[in-house]
Amino acid sequence: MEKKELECERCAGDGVVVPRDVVQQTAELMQRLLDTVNRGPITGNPTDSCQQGVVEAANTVGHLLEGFAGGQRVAVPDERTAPDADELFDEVGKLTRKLHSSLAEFSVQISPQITGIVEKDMPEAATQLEAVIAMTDKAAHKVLELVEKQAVVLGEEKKLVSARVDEIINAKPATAADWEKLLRQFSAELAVRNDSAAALNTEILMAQEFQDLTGQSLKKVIRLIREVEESLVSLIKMFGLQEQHPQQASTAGSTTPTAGYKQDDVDSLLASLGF
Amino acid sequence: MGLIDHVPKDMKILIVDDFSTMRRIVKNVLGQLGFTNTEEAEDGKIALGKLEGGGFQFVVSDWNMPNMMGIDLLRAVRTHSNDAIKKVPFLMVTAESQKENVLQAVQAGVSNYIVKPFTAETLEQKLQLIFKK
Repeated sequence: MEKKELECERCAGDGVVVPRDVVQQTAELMQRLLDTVNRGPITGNPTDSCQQGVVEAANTVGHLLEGFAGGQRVAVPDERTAPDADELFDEVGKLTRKLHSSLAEFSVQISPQITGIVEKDMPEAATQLEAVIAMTDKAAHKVLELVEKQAVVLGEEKKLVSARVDEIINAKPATAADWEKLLRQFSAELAVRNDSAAALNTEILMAQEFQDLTGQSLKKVIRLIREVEESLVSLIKMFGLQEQHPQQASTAGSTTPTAGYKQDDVDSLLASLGF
Repeated sequence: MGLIDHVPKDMKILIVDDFSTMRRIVKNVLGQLGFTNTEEAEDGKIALGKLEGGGFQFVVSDWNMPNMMGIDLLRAVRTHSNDAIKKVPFLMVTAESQKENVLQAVQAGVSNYIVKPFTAETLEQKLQLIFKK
């Protein structure tokens, strides 16, 4: 690579050597920076002034570096007479500092958003979902316990009723009044058992309250997800990237129960395979 | 229930699922059908260990589990050196409802396949099919 030395009249050749290829590369980088910054519109956004600053800096430095690469003296946009090498380097220095501070201002805007998502929103969403699992697990077990109790009660009752009926018949009540007495007694016993069963039923009913609590947790998670979505969209806009259109989720191959086979479909398939 | 009257009610059954609620539901339904000799495992690896302890005559397993999935448990069972384990009736009960899942399970040697959510009737029907005389 041929080196083009930048002659400095004051230091007579002891000054900075800027190899042509380095200047070329820097010019290319500046151009890319310019392209990135120019690609997306930012409206009503506090970083507009940042963007403007970056654009100005990038434009001017770009001009200067193109000048270096071409070995020419350059005209800066505000039409000063072509500066000598010292002034040129000064100019570059100033613009570089301006570029740095604009970029720093950018990161001050962006960084809290990313930090917020990573340190607050995501962990909170995960915690809420874990709570939902815990609540539904607890509720399901509670109901299962009640159902198991109920099953025992029903089993006992079946035996008991049969035994009591046998008892009544074997007592051979002589009169209608005797029959009435025994039957009323039996009826009262059944009423007590019925009340116990009804109480278990009410407990099962109340155990469904978990759905309200899990519903609220899930709503919180949905809110958090939407907040993250908004943050990400604004970040994308800040970087001037094209906003991707959300792809429609493909339902083919999804494992949600609604998209897959029902038992009848499974049974047909199994039947066709000889089951 | 007549169609499974010939199946001994003390048949030892292994219930495999990582969700304890599901294991409890399956246990209860089997109990209603008269089968109360059940044991549980929360993943395929633990299940395989219990099977190797011997005595099991029926396995009911989920698909998605940590450490070893149901499909891999099924494959391990069907290629086992112990003949009793190799031939044990294996029923898959799972939320995986794609055609590919059913085919995979069939190829791996499943005895039958139930998709969640399921009914007690379905479980009874499948028992009848698996244990028909």
